[in-house]
Amino acid sequence: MRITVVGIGAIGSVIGAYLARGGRDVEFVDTNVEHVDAVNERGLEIREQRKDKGAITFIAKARAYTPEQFIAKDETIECILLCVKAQYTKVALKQLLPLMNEESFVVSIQNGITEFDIAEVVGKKRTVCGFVNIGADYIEPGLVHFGTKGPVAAGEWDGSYSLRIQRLEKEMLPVDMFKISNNPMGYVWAKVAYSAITVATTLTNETVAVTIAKPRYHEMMANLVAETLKVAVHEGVDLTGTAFDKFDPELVYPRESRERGKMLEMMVDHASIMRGTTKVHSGTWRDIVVRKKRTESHDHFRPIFELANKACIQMPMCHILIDMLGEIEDGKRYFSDDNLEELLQKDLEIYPR
Amino acid sequence: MKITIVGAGAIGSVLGAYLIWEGKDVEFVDINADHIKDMKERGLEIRAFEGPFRVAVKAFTPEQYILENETIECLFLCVKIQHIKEALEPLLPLMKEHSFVVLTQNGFCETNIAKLVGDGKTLSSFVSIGADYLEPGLVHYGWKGLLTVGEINEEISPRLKKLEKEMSSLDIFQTTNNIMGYKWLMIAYEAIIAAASLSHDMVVDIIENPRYQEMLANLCTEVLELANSIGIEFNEIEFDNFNALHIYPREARDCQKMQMMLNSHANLIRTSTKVRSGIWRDIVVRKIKSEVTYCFEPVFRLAEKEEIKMPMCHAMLDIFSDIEDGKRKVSIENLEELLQKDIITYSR
Repeated sequence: MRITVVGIGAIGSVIGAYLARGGRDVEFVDTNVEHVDAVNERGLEIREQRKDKGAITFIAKARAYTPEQFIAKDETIECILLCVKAQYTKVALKQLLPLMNEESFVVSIQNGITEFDIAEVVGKKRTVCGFVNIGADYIEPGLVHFGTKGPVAAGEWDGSYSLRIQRLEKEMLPVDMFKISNNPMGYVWAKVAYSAITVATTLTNETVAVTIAKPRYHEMMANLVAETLKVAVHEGVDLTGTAFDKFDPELVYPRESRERGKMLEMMVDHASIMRGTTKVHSGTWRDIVVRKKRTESHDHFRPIFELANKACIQMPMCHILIDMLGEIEDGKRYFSDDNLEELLQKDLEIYPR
Repeated sequence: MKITIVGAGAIGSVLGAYLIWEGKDVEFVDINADHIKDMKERGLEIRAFEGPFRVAVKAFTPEQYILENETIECLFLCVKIQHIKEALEPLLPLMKEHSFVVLTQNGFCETNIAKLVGDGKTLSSFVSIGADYLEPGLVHYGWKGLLTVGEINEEISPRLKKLEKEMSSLDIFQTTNNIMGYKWLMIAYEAIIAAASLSHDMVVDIIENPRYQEMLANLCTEVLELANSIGIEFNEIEFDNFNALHIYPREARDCQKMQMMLNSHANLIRTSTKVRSGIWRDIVVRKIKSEVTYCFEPVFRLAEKEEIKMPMCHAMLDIFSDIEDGKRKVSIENLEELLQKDIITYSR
């Protein structure tokens, strides 16, 4: 089966490079012409840093195309691993749609709940749900840093072990962090709910691990996550067994009945896992500070806010958080620990301890 | 001892960050105001082979530095060889009687520096650490390597001892009484790296490729022969399993031993996360002038004086200039061309 990786930023590059190194029939599509040229000319360099097992670098060779070149090639697509940022989901798929047939399918390897957007363009039948929790940075054309080796998973909406899922599992063998999930949407929601914590760490100049390790903010972080999880549960999502990096959504939600002691203990465990990662800053922080572009967090939370509105679920803390992020992006607010303190005050008002 | 690092590129950043980590008093000076501003605001991140870390730094443009400081004690000059003058000149008023400058460049600029800062104020060094400047505030440190410092007159002076004591917590630091031997061996090795950088292959793959090994050895030999002619001793010296023993002189070379030496060097540096040379990155990625030309210029001048021919090094540098001028592309074809030339030149 030929795999078309669409979007070779940080995540797409890592997964695509693993596939190429494993001898799979893989091709890349990306709008960044310089990056595409670099990959074709000199390969894709992946610097993998693992704290305990030492670090390695390898150069993967595979053909890369701009969307225009790819469409001109006019070959039917079998399987798309969609690795573009949430906000580009529809744009990316719309131009590739003419190359898809009934059998073709799209696997979402993205942050955020993009499955609904994908289904809107290619149909629910051709959509495979997925999530990704690896930490990687696009550095420059042809070079990507891979810091945290977390899970990448995909599965059918209903969790069934379909024929195409079995084929996908086989093709993805070279990507050792990939696995098939029988509850992908549970993970997708857990991940996007968790992303509120990442966004909160972005408000300061501190590294992610340092902020997460501060017990002062643990209850506030749990409250942020619980707001999204409430929407998920309302949507009929099953959160059982969706923990990652020792972060367990079931200890966070529902807020009213959670065991505070267990939740705080879990946050400490999670913080110690995060200390072990080799990625110092979040992608969100890098987007603002280094790459100077708009983060995708707004697009992650927009569909959630919409669903919450419909269900009359209040998400006050997440709204405040995303607004603060927007102010930073617009240059109206600066990175500082004060932002977290402000958020904490709001949290104490909204959810009195 | 206050340490002033001039040039916060790859080497300067790594050196400074580790010293700060060890609690030393370090200040960065760089002419790039944006870079200085970035580093001050959010610190300096080193993605090191042993895991990443971030330090808060004191950083200045030369103008700011002169306003806020009175004297320089120890200055590590970590700019590219072609930028030495512009980097150092504004800081000269801060140089006092006991101040000294440690040069970290590949290539020979000791005489020029002496003209600038005065005699007896410079120490030289040999740097084998491998690092890449990625973007403001972010540097990749892929190969541990060594920082070897010595006096130009090869004496173990009190200030060298003092520096050694100051740097004792830095395990990559060492002193030597034969710094010129190290530097010449490094220039010889630089010829290998520059040749490898004519292609898109990983440096280690080129060094290990039997097809090119003899040619690489011949490139080195041309440099070592020149060094030998001016009385440089380099046979006792090695770094990362690389030494001159089985390379020079060419006529007495045991080819098998030479290949074993190159292979064992390649084996060692294969664990580096820096798989491409700084030279390659300069021309292919950063699109800036690499220091190779500047590095070989004084070597060629000396060779002319000593009447030693360096046909292969010249041929390589010509290809290199073509690439930098956009007349030629980086490709393995360049190495093939060089190989043909080598076979004819050293009739083998």
